[in-house]
Amino acid sequence: MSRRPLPLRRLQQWMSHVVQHPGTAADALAGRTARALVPAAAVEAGDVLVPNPRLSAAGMLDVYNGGYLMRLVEVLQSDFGAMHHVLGDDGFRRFAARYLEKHPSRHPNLNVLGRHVPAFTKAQRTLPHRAFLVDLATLELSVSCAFDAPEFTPLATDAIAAVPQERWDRIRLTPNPSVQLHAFRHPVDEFYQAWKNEKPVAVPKPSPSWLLVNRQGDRVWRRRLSRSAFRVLQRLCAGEPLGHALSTAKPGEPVADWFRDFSQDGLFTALRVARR
Amino acid sequence: MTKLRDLVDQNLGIGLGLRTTHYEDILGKWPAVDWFEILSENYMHTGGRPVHVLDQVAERYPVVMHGVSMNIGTTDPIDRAYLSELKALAARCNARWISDHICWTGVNGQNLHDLLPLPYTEAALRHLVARVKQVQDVLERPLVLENPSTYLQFAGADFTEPEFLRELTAATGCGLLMDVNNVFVCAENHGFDAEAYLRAVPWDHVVYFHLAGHTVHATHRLDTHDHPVCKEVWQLFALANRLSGGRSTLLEWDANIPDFATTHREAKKALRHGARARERGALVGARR
Repeated sequence: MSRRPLPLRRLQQWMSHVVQHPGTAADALAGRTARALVPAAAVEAGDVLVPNPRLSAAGMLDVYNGGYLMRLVEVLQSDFGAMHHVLGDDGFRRFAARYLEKHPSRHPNLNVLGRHVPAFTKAQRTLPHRAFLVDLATLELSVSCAFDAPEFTPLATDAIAAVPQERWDRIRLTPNPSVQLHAFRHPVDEFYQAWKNEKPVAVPKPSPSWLLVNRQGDRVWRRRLSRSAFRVLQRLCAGEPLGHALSTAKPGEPVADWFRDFSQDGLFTALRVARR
Repeated sequence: MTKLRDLVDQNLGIGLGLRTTHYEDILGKWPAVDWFEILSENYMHTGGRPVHVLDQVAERYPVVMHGVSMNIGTTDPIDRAYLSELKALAARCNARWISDHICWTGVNGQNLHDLLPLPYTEAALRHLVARVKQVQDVLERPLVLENPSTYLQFAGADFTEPEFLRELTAATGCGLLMDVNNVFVCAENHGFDAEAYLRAVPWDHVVYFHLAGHTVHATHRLDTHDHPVCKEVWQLFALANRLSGGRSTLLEWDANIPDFATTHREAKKALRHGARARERGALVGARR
């Protein structure tokens, strides 16, 4: 067997495959993909890795293989702690391992590792409490996204108040980049808060809920909304004229109070007044 | 373009990694730490609390950037978007220098978020030299690269690790981050003499030191940054100080992180082993 070094590209493809393999390094080395890149005989003969008296070739590679899954599962567990609570250690580890096979990291930053978790959860047909977990994953991802949203300067409440009410039909507002609105099938925020308070509750039955997630300063906030307030805010965030968005509330609803709260919470960064 | 000599000569003293668990202590007390090192990627692609904290820290302390995702040794194309963000972050926090690792972190567009070893061959050296030069051109400053902890060595090497470092630095003018714990971990894992390694290091390129703890397994030692620095590493650090004449020094503690005071005390042990604290007011280019 030749001891000529393998081309770097092939060596990296081989090691990358072995490290990411969901089984052990020995499982990976025995597989077709690894053998096509580097013959098993070359590995066994010590032509690829310098022999180590305490570890076999597979053993050395296992240090990397074991670390890969452990590290990335830990990251997902940190971002999806409430999901981990529902699924348990083993269940979450299996879920995360499948997720990483489908969505390996392609980004320098681990902040975005979990961005496909809600969609992936939806596709897991045998997952217990799947519909609830889709909501929960969406909420937890939303909190991370609000935390990491680009910097912004909120529009001063004075700037909005300075526009005479008769011109509200011509005002369009720009939401800050941390604002996220969710219509859920379950009362997921109550569950999430109970988990955060370390007083977890049972997985709830379906019942619609509406949630605003945003960042103010360097803190992320969640606010449960009524369906009507949610719709008004949704229209404002979509760029509908202020006057029109507010007019969609039902008579008697405290729409002025909602709007004051939205403004005071710094949900908007700009207003444009359209010309007639 | 910043000169490597300026970085080598700029002894910042004893630094600590800026970690979220210590934010409250740091922002509340502004402790007398010589400098902070940030994990670059923790402050990229985010606009919330991390950058808000970083801005405040950078107003008061020298900041050094240490990355884990440059992927300098990969055979994939250089990620120019990553470099642009890195450069912008360096400008934002007035980073004294930017470091990463002599490794690769993924191929085919994937990131394994691990520091994977390179073969120390002529071909790998040529590949790395070309990429380091490109990165330095983009960043407009010398890149500082760390010797990694490794758990395997590729067969067919043309160089020992110190020889590889010597060739790399001579060809590119890049700096080195000498992680003394990594030298010890590798020496134990691969059976070489750690002191001989240190004596072969191109010290005129070494910008700073890393110190950290590691975990001892039955078959190998693992660089985990979750323990105090062990006795053998302190001894090697003392030798490294004698050989180099002293450099900026940083304690890394990334898991099971103790409270701020304990971490700082551990870092200051470096003073007993030949490190120097920063002389106040001696910094060039400090904002305050």
